[in-house]
Amino acid sequence: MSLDERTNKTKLPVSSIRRTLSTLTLILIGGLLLHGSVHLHARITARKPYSPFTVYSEIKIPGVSFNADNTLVIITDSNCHYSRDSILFHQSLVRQAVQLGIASMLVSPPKRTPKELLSVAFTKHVEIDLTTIKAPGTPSVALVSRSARIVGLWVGQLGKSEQTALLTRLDGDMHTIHSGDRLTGVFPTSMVSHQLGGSLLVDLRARAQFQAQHHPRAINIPLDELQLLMPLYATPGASITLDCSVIESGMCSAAIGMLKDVSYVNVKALDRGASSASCFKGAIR
Amino acid sequence: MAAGIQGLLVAEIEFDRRGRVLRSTMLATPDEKLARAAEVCLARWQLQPSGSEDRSEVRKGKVFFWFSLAAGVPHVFLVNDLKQRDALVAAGGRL
Repeated sequence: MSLDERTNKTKLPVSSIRRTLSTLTLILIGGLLLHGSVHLHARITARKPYSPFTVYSEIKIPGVSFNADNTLVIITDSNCHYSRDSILFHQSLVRQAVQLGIASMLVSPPKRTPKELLSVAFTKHVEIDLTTIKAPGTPSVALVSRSARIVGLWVGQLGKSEQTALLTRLDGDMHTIHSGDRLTGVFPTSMVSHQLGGSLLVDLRARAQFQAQHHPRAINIPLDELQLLMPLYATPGASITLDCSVIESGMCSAAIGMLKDVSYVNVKALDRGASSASCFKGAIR
Repeated sequence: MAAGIQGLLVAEIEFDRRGRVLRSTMLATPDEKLARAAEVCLARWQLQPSGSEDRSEVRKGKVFFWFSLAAGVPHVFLVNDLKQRDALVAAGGRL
């Protein structure tokens, strides 16, 4: 066998091995991609059960009825560090609720209530698997109306400004919103109507946005027209509620300031809460 | 207004450097006929020409008209004019 013949003989298996290796590599990459997408799909579907717990939806806790005008619901878990770091805030929140005569409820997984909260005067304490109530994460604070509708939802460990917003929300004073929790659904007609009373609900968005969707009781005064047109709608002593659930917090604060500048002092804002870092896996599951 | 229509008309109007109306857009109106009438009226508006040091080529703003019928007598208030607006409010012209 000549050298050339031997070389040719040995070349064939090498190219064949290369082809096989390329095919195997492709199969391996394909497999990894497939595995990744399956894993991602599993993660997405795993989070689906939490979605119904949103603002304006009905809160359902087995064996619990919401008879008070407003109930402050704190969902916590001693296994979650965000919950543990929020204990002082939750204590002050409940103290504020007690002072204002607002009912408060502590919800936690069985035997996972932070011990610092056990001595706090909650109206009710429920130990329940948090997946059954579709809790959005821990800690969570929900303001629930008499019809068991969530009218404000704060998920996760809150920053100072968010804490202040929530504390002031309890007594119905001015409060701010955060953009983390956007409105996507249709306004339920019963939503917050009992809270509005005789207050004039003002939507500050542009006319086209307002026409696309708005609260049935809202009137539309775009922000840049507010100071000029408000006297056509209400006297300075009138109760005005700004629908800040559909705009950014900066716009809301600006609008409140503008109205105060022209002597409207009885101004409130309707917000939806905030979203922040919270425990999902491990703590709830 | 002879048809008994009243309410707020909002128009956006743009002027060029010479103060002439470039275009007007109706943003809100209680009635289409009123909107057309307002458009014709606004086309005649004229501003002072902007100064040579004024950088802006176009000046743009919103105009608010309140049309009302009081005891069968039609009134038009230019709400941008605070005196007219306050007169309207004093006359009970609330929405």
